[in-house]
Amino acid sequence: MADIRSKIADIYSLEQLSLKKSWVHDRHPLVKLASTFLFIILVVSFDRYELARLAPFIFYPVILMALSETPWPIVLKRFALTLPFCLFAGISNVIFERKTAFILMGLNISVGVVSLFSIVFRAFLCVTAVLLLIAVTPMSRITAQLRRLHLPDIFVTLFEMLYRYIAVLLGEASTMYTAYMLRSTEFKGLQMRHMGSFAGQLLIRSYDRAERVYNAMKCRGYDSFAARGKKKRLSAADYLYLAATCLPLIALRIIDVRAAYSIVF
Amino acid sequence: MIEIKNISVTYPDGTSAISDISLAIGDGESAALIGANGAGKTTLLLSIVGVLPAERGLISVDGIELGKKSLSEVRRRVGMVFQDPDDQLFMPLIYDDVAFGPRNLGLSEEAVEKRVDAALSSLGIAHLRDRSSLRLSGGEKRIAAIATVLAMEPTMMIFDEPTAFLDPKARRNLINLLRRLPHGKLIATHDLSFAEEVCPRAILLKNGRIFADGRTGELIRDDRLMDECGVEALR
Ligand SMILES: Nc1ncnc2c1ncn2[C@@H]1O[C@H](COP(=O)(O)OP(=O)(O)O)[C@@H](O)[C@H]1O
Ligand SMILES: [Mg+2]
Repeated sequence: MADIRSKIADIYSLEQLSLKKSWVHDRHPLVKLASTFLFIILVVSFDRYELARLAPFIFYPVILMALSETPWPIVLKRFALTLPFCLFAGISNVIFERKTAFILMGLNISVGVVSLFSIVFRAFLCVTAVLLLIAVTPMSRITAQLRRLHLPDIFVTLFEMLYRYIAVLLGEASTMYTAYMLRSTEFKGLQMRHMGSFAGQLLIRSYDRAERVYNAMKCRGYDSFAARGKKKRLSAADYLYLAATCLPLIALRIIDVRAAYSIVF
Repeated sequence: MIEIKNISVTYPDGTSAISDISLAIGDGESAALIGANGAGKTTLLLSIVGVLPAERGLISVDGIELGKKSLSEVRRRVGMVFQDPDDQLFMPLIYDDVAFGPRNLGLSEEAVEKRVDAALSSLGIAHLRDRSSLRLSGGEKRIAAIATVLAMEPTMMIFDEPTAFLDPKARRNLINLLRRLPHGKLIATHDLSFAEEVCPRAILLKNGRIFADGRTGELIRDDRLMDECGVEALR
């Protein structure tokens, strides 16, 4: 817990990448939002036992990562955090759906196992797509674009605040925890009987802090309505990006690629 | 310039934090606001930028009277540096923190970048541009917080205990830096030698009222005066 500050910095390290320069970074946030959105819709739209037709979608994150020079470990580490949740979601399928889907090297692969893999793979694709969006577009531009798309302002502001608030909350918690440990004699960590007042204090403190941060923001002209920013027009390169991402994705959804597999293999 | 006439501020719980304060800070003038803890320094600064509403009196900046309509104009002209830099640095990168204000002004991204680079390099911290504030030292954070305000290109700057949490070297660095800034300044502090080095004028605050106003060098060596304000005089 002592190095929680650097852990907090880790949370935002992905966004730190968003300041790099690359062809992908330079694209208008609108086209990046659009292609991410489309990608997720398409991936989710396949039926739950699909794997073969989903496989080629991996090219989207792989190519984007290469173009934007996003390091794999950063993204994989974050996906690993969500892995328990998708395993949890898929494991019941393994238990309940035992019908054999196909036989691989003498092993009966059940429908449930296929759907587990499909869930995990799908989650991997979607999480990676969102992480990549954050890694190649500064958060402030993503939210400004969401506002321009007339998403209700309250949602965007709430999202921004939550995003910032994680660091505030963790920072306060670490300060309080350190102070607590220095005064506690037993060195056994936070005790149950102090938990309530600790949590209460944390809430009050982080509320105070949030208020001061908000004041500091207002002093520098923050006004959620003005945060829309100036409109930037789409360039030819932006349209190219949109076409180069969306058209192949749509094609992959319409065309049954399993036919292509049987030609290759 | 900042002009304050007969303002009073009472907190919602009934605490009267400052009462009937009048003062003026001219363009390019540097004044220290000296007082013990709870004297009302922070409250006075926050009321100047309209964060805390004054229940009576007038505040005007460069001739513009603080009011609902002029709020954003006043805040653009008066930059406030908060006591805790962590309150001011909340973006993932120093660049974004400094760009936050200019972006709110609706400037183009190119103009924003120009302002950020100008602010950072005038304070000698251009190398911190793409760093995260979570990994900076106290002194670096303090200066980065000043940069966030400088990028708004204010005419006046107000500081709340800028030497708090600084080690001697960072403090010295800050003194040199503040002396170079051409803006009119009002600096709340109880660090008297700092006040003397940066501000020719000092305003003593006690229980929310102005107790004395004069030359810093004389005031801070007046044992009786300082004692009454609850601050230890400088020898
Ligand atoms: N949010 C608040 N609610 C009620 N009283 C407050 C609040 N903030 C400060 N005060 C009170 O107002 C007075 C002035 O406080 P402050 O301006 O913070 O003093 P200083 O900055 O000089 O230490 C003190 O008596 C303090 O207890
Ligand atoms: Mg104070």
